[in-house]
Amino acid sequence: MIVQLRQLDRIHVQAGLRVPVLREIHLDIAEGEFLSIVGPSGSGKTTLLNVLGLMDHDWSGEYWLDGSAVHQAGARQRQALQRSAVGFIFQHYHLLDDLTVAENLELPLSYRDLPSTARRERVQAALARFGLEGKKGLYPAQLSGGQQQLVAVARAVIARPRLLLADEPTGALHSSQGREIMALLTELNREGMTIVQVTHNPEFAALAARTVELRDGVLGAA
Amino acid sequence: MTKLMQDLRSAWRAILKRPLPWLLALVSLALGIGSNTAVWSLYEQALLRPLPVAQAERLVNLSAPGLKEGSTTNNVAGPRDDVLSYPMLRDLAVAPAVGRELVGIAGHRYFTANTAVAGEATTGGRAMLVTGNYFSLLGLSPALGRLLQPADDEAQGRRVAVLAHAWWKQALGGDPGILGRSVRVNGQALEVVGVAPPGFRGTTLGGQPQVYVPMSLRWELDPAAQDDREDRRSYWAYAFGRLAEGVSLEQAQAALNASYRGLLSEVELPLQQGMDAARQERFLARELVLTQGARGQSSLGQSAAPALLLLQGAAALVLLITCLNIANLLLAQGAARAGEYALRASIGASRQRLARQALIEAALLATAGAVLSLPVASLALHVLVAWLPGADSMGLLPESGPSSLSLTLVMALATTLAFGLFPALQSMAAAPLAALRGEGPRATGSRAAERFRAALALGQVAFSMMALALAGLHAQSLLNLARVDLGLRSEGVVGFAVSPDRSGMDGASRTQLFETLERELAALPGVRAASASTVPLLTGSTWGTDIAVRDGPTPQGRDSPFYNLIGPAYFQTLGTTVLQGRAFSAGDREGAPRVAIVNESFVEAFELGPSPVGRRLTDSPRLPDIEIVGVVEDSAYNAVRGPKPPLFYLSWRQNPGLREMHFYVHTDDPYGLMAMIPPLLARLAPDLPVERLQTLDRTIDELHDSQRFVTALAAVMAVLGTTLSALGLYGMLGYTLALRQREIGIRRALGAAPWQLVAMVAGRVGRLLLAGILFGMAAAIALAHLGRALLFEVDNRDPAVLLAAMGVIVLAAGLACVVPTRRALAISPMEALRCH
Ligand SMILES: Nc1ncnc2c1ncn2[C@@H]1O[C@H](COP(=O)(O)OP(=O)(O)OP(=O)(O)O)[C@@H](O)[C@H]1O
Ligand SMILES: [Mg+2]
Repeated sequence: MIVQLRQLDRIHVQAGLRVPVLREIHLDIAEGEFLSIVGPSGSGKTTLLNVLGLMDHDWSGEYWLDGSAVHQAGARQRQALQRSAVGFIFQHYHLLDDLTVAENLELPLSYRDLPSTARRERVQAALARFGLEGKKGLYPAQLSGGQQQLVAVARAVIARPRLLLADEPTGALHSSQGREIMALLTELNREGMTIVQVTHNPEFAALAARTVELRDGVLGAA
Repeated sequence: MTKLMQDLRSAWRAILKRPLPWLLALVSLALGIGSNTAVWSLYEQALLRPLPVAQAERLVNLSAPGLKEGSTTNNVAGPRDDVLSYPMLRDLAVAPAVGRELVGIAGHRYFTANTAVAGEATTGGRAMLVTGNYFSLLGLSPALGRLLQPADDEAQGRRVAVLAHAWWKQALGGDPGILGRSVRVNGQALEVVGVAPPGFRGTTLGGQPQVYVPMSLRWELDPAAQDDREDRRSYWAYAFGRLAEGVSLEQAQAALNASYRGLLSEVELPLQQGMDAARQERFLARELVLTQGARGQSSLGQSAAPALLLLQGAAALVLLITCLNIANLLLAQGAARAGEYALRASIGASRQRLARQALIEAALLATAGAVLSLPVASLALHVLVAWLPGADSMGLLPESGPSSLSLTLVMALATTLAFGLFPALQSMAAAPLAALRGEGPRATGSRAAERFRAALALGQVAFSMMALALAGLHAQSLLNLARVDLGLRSEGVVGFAVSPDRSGMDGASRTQLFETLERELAALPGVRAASASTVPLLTGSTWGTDIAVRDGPTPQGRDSPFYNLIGPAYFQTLGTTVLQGRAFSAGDREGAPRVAIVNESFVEAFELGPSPVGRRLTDSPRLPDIEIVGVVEDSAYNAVRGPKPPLFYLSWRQNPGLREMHFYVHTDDPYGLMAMIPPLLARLAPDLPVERLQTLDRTIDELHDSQRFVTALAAVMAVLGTTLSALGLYGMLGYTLALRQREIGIRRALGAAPWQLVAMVAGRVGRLLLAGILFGMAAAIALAHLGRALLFEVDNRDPAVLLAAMGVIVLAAGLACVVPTRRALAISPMEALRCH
């Protein structure tokens, strides 16, 4: 199991009120699995993904990531764990506007101890793999939404994470562009990457081997 | 009207909604403009303000450059070129041009005086000798009683005096019963006939008198005056005139010179004895020069001009930094509100309406800034005038004239409108659609805008660096001045003066007293040596007289070298080495052969060769020659800066009748000695006050007052500039990082550790700092080169100074960065990304 969640609770405090967003989540994700999370808006999908991606640590319960007990880890350890294991894809791409495609790709590598030649090689490989060679010098604003998300996917996997988290990766795309991205994710999954995606699109959700549903912070089978 | 109120209210609400940038802008404005107003007030007082008299622009100052044989004495009212002899002044005052091209010509000269109104304590200060027409020519009316009139200044002069308004208020509490009472000036009783008008402080900046007295009383009141009432070869009086209606300065000058030439050739030339043909020609070629006299006669403004200009420059820089701050802060503000503007535009607000609101916000800021800058200016002025040495001797007051106040207003409006409105308009122009999509901050926070803001911040850093470096260089200069090798010892030396003729002692008793004093001072415990000296050292005073080497050339421009009349132990007291021959002895007195000692520069200037001892000097055809008996090393005379002048020394004992004498005493315990001197004098000559008793070190300090003034002000400017820059940097970084929240969130999601983000911020700020520092350093070096006259033996690239300035900037920048960076990092990436 790459992910094990036990009795995980996440409570938001809003205007002094304690609002439970995730309740007693129990979730196992096997290595190499492709999991879809669906659910109505506001049900806690993004929140769950943030917990999984170690962006959030304000929860109670137990979380084992790749064998490490996240609930017992300090900030430093979480940071190290996130760096080594997790990649993110966001609905709004979140590329950095004033970096070129190549520079955006290099960004995650720059935060990891890699010699610059190795970095350049990996960027080169990613550009080739995702068909972005012709675009490497362009800025995000010069790309279409689909192309931007392509860059975002490339950026998410360039550091070779074990766990790829995608929050509505197709949410801002036309369906044809969305299909391309989904094809890419499926391919990555086939190569052995564990993927957890959040989606509103039933067609895309079905591409995953397993789908779970969140309702008011409670996880159930779809 | 209601629309305006509505706009005002919404502007107010907008300000309240985000008060911090406005507050920072306001503080910047108040500091920048307040400091400028303060410096401008001083500048205006020292250099621009006309005398508070009727039609000051028609006043002209007289100068009589050219060959002046005989004796000249000048003071801060003007250089040696400017002084006239008393007979010449009287002749010119009745020249045909007066009554035609000129309304009149008046004379004046201040002298140091102890002044007391019966029953009150004596105060040391100055009295101003004025001709009878002085006040009427200036067009002044009295605050009380009457002013001096021509009848007061005839022949021997009436024993009357007019009090300066400030002194009357300060020392006498503005007592209206003063009229008819007696005021003692240097011990002489004069009747108070009036009080000069308020605000009038004489015609010489830096020579503000306590009383005005008729010029013809000079020989009774001023013990330092020689008997030169009718001496056309004794030059000491300053003169100014008033142009008649419709007459130009050139016309008046030509008309007056017609008389002057006649006086020179017919009256004065015959009196110049032993003048060779070449010198006669030079003598006759002299012409009077008339110059604008609206500001009175003073060389103080001129000598302070470069310093004040520099200060004004520094103040202008601070203002520039303020402008950049305002621009930066409001630009950030405008960018943050681009969304709001777009929203308003989308619901139908016209561009004009939006522009008007921005205008009103800027105007509110300007008004508040101007109002707040007034107390800042007043405080700064009070501090400057009260605490900075030099301001007092310049007679600068902690007050701002109308020109300063209007300047404040103009500066406030100009800065806020130019630098506040422009960014607002710019952000309004941002594509409204992009702004509405919630990309507003991103749209205007684009790379171009960010670069612009970075350039502004860079400019601020550059200017602060420059101000800091200049302040540092001046401080260094001051240090160097303190370390100058004066060629004389100041440590452990105490000086004081006595003027026994002010208590009616005759010449013989004075000589007796001086001799006794030299002897008794030397016998006091702890004293190593003591000597008389007629010239007070290092106070700017000089004595010069004609002298020539028998059978030798007289170097051009050295007709009247400086000299000093001294006692036998003078060189020993002041630690000046006798290089050849001997010092004076008590035997060098009246009746003995006349002897002189010269310094090395004198030997060089008068080409005395390798063995000057035994050569002869001549100062008057009627007197026997003076034999040079010794050569001493060069030493400072009237000033610390500049080359040491050629000097010759005479034995005071061979020059009887001296009225005033200074004494220098070398002792192990200066302060102990200073306590012993008054009792000693009281025993030797009851009623004779000890004057100017202080250590020579203190005298030297006073000489550096103006340099210290400049340094302190430059330092204040540097501190202000740095503070403002730090504020600006803080504002810019806070804003930039807030705009970059999303970026920071992404970077953290991609694995950046906090320290890596800090390094990123530090790298950006560091690059900006480095560029700013380099620019500022280059500018400081260039400016210091331009103003090198002000710097004393300081390399304008002094690495220690530049490094220190850099350190201060880096420290300030670091402090400015801490809070915004911490705040940016405290936001969770989740939060930062959720917004989009
Ligand atoms: N920082 C926060 N403070 C308070 N409440 C929050 C915060 N973040 C999320 N919430 C609340 O938590 C609940 C779940 O939010 P979440 O973003 O996880 O929903 P979601 O399932 O991703 O919705 P969507 O499909 O719209 O993206 C919502 O009710 C939201 O209002
Ligand atoms: Mg969501």
